[in-house]
Amino acid sequence: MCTRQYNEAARAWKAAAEQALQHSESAREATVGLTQALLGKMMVDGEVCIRVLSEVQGDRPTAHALNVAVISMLMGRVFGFNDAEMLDVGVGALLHDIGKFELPDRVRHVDAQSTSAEAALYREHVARGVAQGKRMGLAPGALLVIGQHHEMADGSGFPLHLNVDRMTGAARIVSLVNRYDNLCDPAQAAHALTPHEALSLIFAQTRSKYDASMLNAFIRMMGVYPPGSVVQLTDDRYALVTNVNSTRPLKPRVLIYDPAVPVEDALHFNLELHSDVGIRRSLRPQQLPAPALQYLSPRQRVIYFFEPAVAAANSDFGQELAA
Amino acid sequence: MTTRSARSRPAGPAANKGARVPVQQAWLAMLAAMSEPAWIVDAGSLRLLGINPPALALLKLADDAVERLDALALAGSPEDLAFWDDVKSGRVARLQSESVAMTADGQLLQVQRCIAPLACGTTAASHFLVTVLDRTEVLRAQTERETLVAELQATLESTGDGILVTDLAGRIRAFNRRFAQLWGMPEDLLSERHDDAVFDWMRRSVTDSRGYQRRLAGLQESALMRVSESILLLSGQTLEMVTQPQVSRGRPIGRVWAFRDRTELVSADRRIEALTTTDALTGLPNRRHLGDALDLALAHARRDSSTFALLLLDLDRFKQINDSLGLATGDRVLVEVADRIRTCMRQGDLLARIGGDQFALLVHQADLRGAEAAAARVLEATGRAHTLEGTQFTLTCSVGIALYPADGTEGGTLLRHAETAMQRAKQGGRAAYRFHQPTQDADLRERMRLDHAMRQALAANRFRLAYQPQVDIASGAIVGAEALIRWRDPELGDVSPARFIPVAEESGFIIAIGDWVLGQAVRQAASWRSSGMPLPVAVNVSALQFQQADFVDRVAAALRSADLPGGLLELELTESILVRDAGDALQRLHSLAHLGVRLAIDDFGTGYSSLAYLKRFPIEKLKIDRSFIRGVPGDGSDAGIVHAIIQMARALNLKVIAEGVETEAQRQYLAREGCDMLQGFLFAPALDPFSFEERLNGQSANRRRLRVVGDD
Repeated sequence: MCTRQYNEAARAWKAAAEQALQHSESAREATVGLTQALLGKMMVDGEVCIRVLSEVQGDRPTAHALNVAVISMLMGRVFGFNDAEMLDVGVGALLHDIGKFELPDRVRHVDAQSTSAEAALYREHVARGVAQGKRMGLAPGALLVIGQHHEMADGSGFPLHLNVDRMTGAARIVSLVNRYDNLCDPAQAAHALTPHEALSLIFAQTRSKYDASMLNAFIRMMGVYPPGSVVQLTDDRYALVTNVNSTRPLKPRVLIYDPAVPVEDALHFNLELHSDVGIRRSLRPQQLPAPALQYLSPRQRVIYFFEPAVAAANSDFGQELAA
Repeated sequence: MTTRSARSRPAGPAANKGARVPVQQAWLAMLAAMSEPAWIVDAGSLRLLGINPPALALLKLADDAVERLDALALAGSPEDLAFWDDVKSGRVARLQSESVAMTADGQLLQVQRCIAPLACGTTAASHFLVTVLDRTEVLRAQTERETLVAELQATLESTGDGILVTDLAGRIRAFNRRFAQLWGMPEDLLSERHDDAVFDWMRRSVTDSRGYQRRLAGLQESALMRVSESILLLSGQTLEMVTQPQVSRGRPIGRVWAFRDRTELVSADRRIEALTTTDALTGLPNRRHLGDALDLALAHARRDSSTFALLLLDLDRFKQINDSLGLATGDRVLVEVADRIRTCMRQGDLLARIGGDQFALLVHQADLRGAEAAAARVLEATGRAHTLEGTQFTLTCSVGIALYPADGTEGGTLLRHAETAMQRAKQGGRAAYRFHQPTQDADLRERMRLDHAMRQALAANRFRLAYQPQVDIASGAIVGAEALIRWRDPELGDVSPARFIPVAEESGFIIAIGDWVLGQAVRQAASWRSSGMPLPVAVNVSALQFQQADFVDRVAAALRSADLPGGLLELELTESILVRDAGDALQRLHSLAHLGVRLAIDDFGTGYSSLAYLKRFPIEKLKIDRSFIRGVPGDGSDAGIVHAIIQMARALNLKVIAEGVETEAQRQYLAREGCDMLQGFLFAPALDPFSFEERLNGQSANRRRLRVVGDD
């Protein structure tokens, strides 16, 4: 169900993005339509769960846009955004990198090897994105998300070096989520961090760059060990985090590797109910012994989606968490 | 408070509350005594009760940190944050995990962090002890080690040898995939890592399992022994095993075994051995094997006083098959021929392929008649029509026969004699057999001697040119000269061209001789011209010389260097030259004609005498062969031929010259028939240049005299 909806959303985003340059009007309508469809599913009474999807279609730009949009909108929901604000977050997040479409592949990402000229060109994607957004006739709130998604709370971002007071709430959310997803799924797969590493890095090194309340809410929502993380428990067993418990971030639900149990009947374990067992460390999938890796089969690229908690409770897959 | 003691918050009002003070003091004292970085957090306020110097040093904090910072400020990761949130909600737990910590200057440390509640007696925990162990270095070393191991593993896997590593007790420590492949081990045997099963498998795979076991036991006893040996497996594989001790810090810690598959090498050795005595294409013995077989046959024949025959077969015009049907087809023909000859051999006879299209047949117990019968059978078998790829063709061979002991008592001699006999069969028109003839051999040696002497003669400038006058048949005036080569050798005396020219043609030395003749004759003609006697000089050109790619250039260069007009040089060519490669020849003749050089056909009437080429080629003159002149006017058929040649030349507008004219009757006949010129003893033999000049001068003197007389 989730997978089907996600794949539909991925196709819709790709179609909208491809026609953005030529048919900006219809691209806007498609993006707004996609956002409203996501909102329709998300803005229900009761809790909504984050789900990690395993078998989905789509390339990296699509996965990134949807990951950032889904998590940003869930964050907006936590902060009680109204409908118009939610639409701005969604549309802005879906289109935050629209300016990269005009750039050569080489400068769509920067790393240590990039020259200063390449880095300057890369930074231009923000201004190009805003210009493109204007051609599409996006709402001001969505345009601000595009324009501010690389600003930092301490004024160290670009292009305007705005500080937290001058950033919109929607932009503060998207800036953080964008950073997180880029750490988890960078252009060069070899540099990818696990969700837990990415979270720790943001927390430890760049805490000052993000609005503290945003960061705390984000950690609460994603959990200390976000869904999809591979962990080793204090009793040395290996496990995969499936659900985050927003009230107890240290106690998520996990799928435990136990060679004695067939993978179909694998043990789902709620750490909250077992105070004697905790998480000792998080691992990269490659650090797992081969049988455990095969058993838990963690994804290299974590795709997030969501569904109402009621549906999640009925789901036999069970990789959800109340958000 | 010394620098070694824990930094603690100044005692506030709470510090004075009864029994808690000594407890907190005790905690602080313990904190100061700890060597690990640690701090104590107040559960209610999350403020620090104290922090020890190792913690300040690790996090690069100033001494006043204890007053400024709280637990949340020192929280290095989201786990810490979540933990303190739990504490605020009244939950008491432990947290121990691998985490990160930030130094004051922004450095990220990998740490093992433990937060444990501090409770006193039965009361709830009022404080937490946080300890942090810096694992940055440990993790870096671990990463380095993992990288190294990964590199070593990759190296192990990329080697072509099967590697097994065991410890001193003989337990398996490592192996690579190639090891399993070489020994043909099932996957699960290795993945289960059941040492006994692996060793059992190896023991059961070798042909000599008891000996193998014994040697292994021996190795177990002597940890430092290095052994290299071959192991033959039941599967037929040959493994080369090298084992040497694995040494660490000067002590043996185990043993490394390297296995290499030598099966292919061993079989390659066998193939090389076979190749040296067998022809790869036909599977027949080769020349080397034939030599051995000949030695054996000679030994037997000597012992039994018996005879045997050696037949040497060479396929006729085999090159044409290769050229027209391709090498692959040529190879198939060779195989077919070998098969056919095999069918007509007697048991015990030996057929060998000793060259491209050459075979040798050793026929035991054969005298002249037996050899003849064998040769006849071979000719019959190879002569039957072949059909390959839809093409039918006939292949013949020429056979030379040498007999033991009549034609030689050694293998080499017999082979050589059979070869010369075979050559004679070829010269005699192919598809035949010939026996060795004793004189032939002497002839060959003579030719080699002559060839050698010839080369020395040219170098020593012993060749001379003689010039035979060519005269107008009507006026008797000298109108040209044919340059003829003469050689007087200090050892051999006068050597006739009829003797040495064929040898030179065979060895190719004719090209050098021809060059010399051309240059010499051209210089002579130029010398006469400058003395006021412009006289065309005729030079004979051999086929080999004419076929040289730069022949025309050489002629042009000779003319140029002597400054001689082309019209004063005449080249005499034989018909065979023109027929061989008519297109190429035509082009050359035109180039020569372009230089003004005159062209004549030598020995006309003895070769192809084709009207077609006479018409096409820029020829000026025909020279009737001396063999026809000899018979005129008496011999009717010679006279008829001479008559016909002259008539034909007339019709084609060619001049005719007769050579070898020795009698007045011949001269009269030729004059009557309309021949233009003649040369021969009747007028003059070939003369040295000086005599020739005298003759010329005499002639002009005669003329002058005649004119004077006439004038008188």
